[in-house]
Amino acid sequence: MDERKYPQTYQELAKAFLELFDETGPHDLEEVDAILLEAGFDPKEIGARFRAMAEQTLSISPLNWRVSAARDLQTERSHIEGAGITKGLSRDDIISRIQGLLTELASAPRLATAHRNLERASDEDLGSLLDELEYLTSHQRRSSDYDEG
Amino acid sequence: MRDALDPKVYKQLLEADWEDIGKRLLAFAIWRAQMYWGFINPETVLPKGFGLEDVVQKVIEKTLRGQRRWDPEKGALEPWLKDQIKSELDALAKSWGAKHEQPVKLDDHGEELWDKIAAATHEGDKEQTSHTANPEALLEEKEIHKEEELASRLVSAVYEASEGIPELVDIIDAVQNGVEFKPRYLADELGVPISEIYNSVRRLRRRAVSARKDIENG
Repeated sequence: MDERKYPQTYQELAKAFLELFDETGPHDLEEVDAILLEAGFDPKEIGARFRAMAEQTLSISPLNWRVSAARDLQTERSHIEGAGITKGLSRDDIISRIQGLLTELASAPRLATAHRNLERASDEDLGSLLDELEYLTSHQRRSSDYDEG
Repeated sequence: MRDALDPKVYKQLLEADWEDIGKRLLAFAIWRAQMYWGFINPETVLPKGFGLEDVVQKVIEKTLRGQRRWDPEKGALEPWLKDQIKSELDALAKSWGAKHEQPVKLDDHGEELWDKIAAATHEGDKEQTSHTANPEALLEEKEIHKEEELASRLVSAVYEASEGIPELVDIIDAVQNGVEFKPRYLADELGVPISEIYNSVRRLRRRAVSARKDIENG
């Protein structure tokens, strides 16, 4: 035990008592439920409410990479579309570029499989796909540069 | 993706059992809050209009949104969440007024602010107060006074709870003498088994909560 610290004020003494009481607080779930019931809470309802709240919050949380990726993609899309990457390109050029990028994103075989039937896709769909792939590859390149740096 | 959390941390938050954690946090909050306010039930309104479940929900939501960042390198999730709840409850306990008072609005100038200061501190007529005092300094002084008052009430309840019970008095004496407030250190100091300390501390707390309830209920 370290050198003793004598409580000098009521606040310090109160804090010491509170911390001591916390040390003997509820530990197992049976005790937890007992405390909740005694205070008038329904343990099952409470548990279900917290679970639902957590699920909802996680699904829209900025910490969720899908949420932040979608946001980033939207931002990047506006940049890419603004830059007019697909403008002036022929349909064949777009398909060729898509195939090249899919090869580069070799670690995403699911992507490659999903977009095999490029010939059947509309011009609009091809344009959107090219935008997304440009975004993903540029992100992958930035990540590689960061790792090497 | 600068805003995104470390995937491992996010995964841990995603996989945590929030039903279990939520219940444990609420039980912990009740455990602590009873020392401040005595009587707690689902309808209890704490300062600033919060209920106890709101406090726990706020802590969980802020954690899951990344507004408060849990770092697994520094410790497990549940103890960290409990520390957050302690901070919230301590802040509420120190805030202006008890459960039935409205918080004073600092941006309100004029009648409401002066009336509340005068009424709360019994400092005479409004006219005199407004010409001689800085409102923010007065409020700050009042806040400090309230913190001390709160602490003193809590300590009084603990003293009252120990009256006539030697083993409880021994625990209080040990804490006052600077023994670290963990059961194992108290056990060493008093030469009794940890289980006995554990039971005595719980008994002390139970009696102190009862004393707090009596105070709160007038």
